[in-house]
Amino acid sequence: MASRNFKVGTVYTRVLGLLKSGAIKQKPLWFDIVETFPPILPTMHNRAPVPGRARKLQYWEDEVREKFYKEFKFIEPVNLYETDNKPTICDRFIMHYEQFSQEETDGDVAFAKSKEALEQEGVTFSRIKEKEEKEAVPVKENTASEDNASIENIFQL
Amino acid sequence: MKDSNFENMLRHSKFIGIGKPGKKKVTGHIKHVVGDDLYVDFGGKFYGVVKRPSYAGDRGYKLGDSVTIRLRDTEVTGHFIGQSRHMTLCEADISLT
Repeated sequence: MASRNFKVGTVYTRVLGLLKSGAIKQKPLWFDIVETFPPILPTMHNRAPVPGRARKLQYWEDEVREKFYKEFKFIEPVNLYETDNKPTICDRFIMHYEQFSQEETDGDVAFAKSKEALEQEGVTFSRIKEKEEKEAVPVKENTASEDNASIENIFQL
Repeated sequence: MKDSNFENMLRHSKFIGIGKPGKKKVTGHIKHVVGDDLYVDFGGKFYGVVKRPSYAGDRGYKLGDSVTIRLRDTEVTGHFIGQSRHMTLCEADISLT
């Protein structure tokens, strides 16, 4: 099994094959040590991972964060290089949410309460008004479009 | 050190705190300039690439400038029809604010 391809066997078997075939003349320093004390798990390329070792990076905060960013889009720019660990508005929201969710079972109530708590601390949620105004406009447009010819109205005209 | 292991540090990191990219504002600085292409380093895995806007002229958007960008995607990947494996462009999808 003389091969240099790292996908074949383990390092030890590859070097053993290379030595036998004569491609390498001199044993590497580590060869005898690995021979007498082989690794616990074989260092093969296609080895199955130990179950439970690689965990999913999913946290309960992720859902709260997604909801928060969907509702309130006014956040200041983030500097990913900053190391001062000052909690952002979203972090503070999640801290409040964690406290309220222990008392309330309904997520929406805890969400509203955390928003109130942040407003008391001085954060203004000014983009909500714009969103409400935008939602009001489509309702008016639908009632005015009855005279317009469209594929939906074509049999009514 | 408050968070003694990597798992805690990652969980409370600013990167996870952003959530989905979703056109959120991030600050970065211009790392390379290749003609009209600006490579912005905002701390992600890849640089974001944008074209220097025509209104900027010669004074704006030089090497080393701090910029505020909108992050649309942390890694631009795609696949050709018929292929199951995606390919990566090794850049982030951003737009200037």
